[in-house]
Amino acid sequence: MSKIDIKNANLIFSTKKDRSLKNILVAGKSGFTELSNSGEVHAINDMTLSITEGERVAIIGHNGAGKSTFLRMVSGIYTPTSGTVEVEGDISGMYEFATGFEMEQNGWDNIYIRGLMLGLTPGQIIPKMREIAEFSELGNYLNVPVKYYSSGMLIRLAFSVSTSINPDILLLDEALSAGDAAFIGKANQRMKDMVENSKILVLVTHSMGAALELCNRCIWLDKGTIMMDGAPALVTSEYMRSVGSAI
Amino acid sequence: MKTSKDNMFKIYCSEIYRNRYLLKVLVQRDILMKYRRSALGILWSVLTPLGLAIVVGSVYAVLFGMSPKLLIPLIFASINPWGFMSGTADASTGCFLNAEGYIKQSSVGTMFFPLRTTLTSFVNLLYSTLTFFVIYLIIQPNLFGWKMLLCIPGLIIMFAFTLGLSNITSVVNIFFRDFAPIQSLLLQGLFYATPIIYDASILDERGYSIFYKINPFYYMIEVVRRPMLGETLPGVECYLISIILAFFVLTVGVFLQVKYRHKIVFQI
Repeated sequence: MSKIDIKNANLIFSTKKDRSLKNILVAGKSGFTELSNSGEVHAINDMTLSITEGERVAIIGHNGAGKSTFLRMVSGIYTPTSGTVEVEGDISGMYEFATGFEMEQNGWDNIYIRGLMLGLTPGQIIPKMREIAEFSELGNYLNVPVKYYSSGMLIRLAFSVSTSINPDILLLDEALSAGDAAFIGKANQRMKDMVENSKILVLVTHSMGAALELCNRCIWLDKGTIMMDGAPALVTSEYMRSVGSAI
Repeated sequence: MKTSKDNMFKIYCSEIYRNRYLLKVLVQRDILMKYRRSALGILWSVLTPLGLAIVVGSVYAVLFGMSPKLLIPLIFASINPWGFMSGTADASTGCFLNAEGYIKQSSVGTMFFPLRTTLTSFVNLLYSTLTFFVIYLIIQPNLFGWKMLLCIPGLIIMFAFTLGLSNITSVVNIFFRDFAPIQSLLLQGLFYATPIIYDASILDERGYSIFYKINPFYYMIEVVRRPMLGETLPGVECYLISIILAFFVLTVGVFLQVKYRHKIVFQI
């Protein structure tokens, strides 16, 4: 039984990223330094949420609403500052792009390495490599270092690996925005197939179409807070209305 | 997230074990990529310290009239472990930043990246150690013997110490970015303060023994190079001190890795 259970989670980023010698030396000088340095971003704000098996959840909202942070928090990459995030089930995720590739290595090596990153053993990933390669349709490009790939090709590669392992929970961030039309169709079909095996999908998207087509639940985030949570048709139309009124 | 009260070594080891396959691939890759497209490739990890030993050894031989036959092996046997420790400490300061793609793209965590850096340097050290033995066999065949096998426990002690160092410097630098250049400077100074390109007896004669006796690197180098040179072995005291130091540094390192494991990702 897979599930995601979030209780009163807060995630606060400190924008004062590095402690440099200068900061420390200057800090004592002025009473204002500490105030101006304490800039914090409240990325997830007291969130309580539970997602159960069979749910395909679309996360929508403005840039900077906390969508990607939410996904990383569910995956365990970010630990909440307070509150709890409990996840049952194996997770496979695809977050922001253009990182997590070994640019000098070829496509095959990257399939292998990404498989290991997802927690597979060599014995599990090697038999899947042919199927992953076929799904990606990258053909001979797999023998070329991935630094020569276009962003769409990198996405094909990442998506093919992330969805090849039949995870209990699939987390996708803006997954398909750079894929071409044919691949988007194929990828949507694959996501549907996966979810039919009663797994959880969480999809961060700016495409209301994708939210409507793929998901049976939609969460609208704003400033780390859940604005609305319900059927995709309802939430997307409310969201679009708010966007429209802002213009 | 489970708020685990587990022993920190258990947390550390289980995360390393979980990522063992990725660790192996990344270390292999690091070794291959380091000298990618250079004609001599991995040979450079041997030629660089050997070249330095020959240069320094020859200069000393001329300046102080010492036999280069004795001096060059001594310097080569000392530069290798020093280069391993200081090189790893330097490289570790960037190990999380270089792994951003892995840390932010998957749930691999952060703890095994210092080990990756240490292992990569260690493989280079093993190559240059083997080279040392080949050269030494040619110039000092009569010194070959069982004593040399004792460099293996020495290497293990030094590996533990260096892994600890790597675990510490990687965490310190991620929170305090001025650390990397400060450390480089300190290591540069330590290179001259440690009996590496000269013999400890020079300091003894001038009453500066304290300089190397309080220097942890000296003990690590001793337990590796003395057996390698095959003449006198380090004393029991030297072994005890080096083991205690290695254990202490490794414990502090693991403690920092475990304590800050949820915080590092936000600093990248």
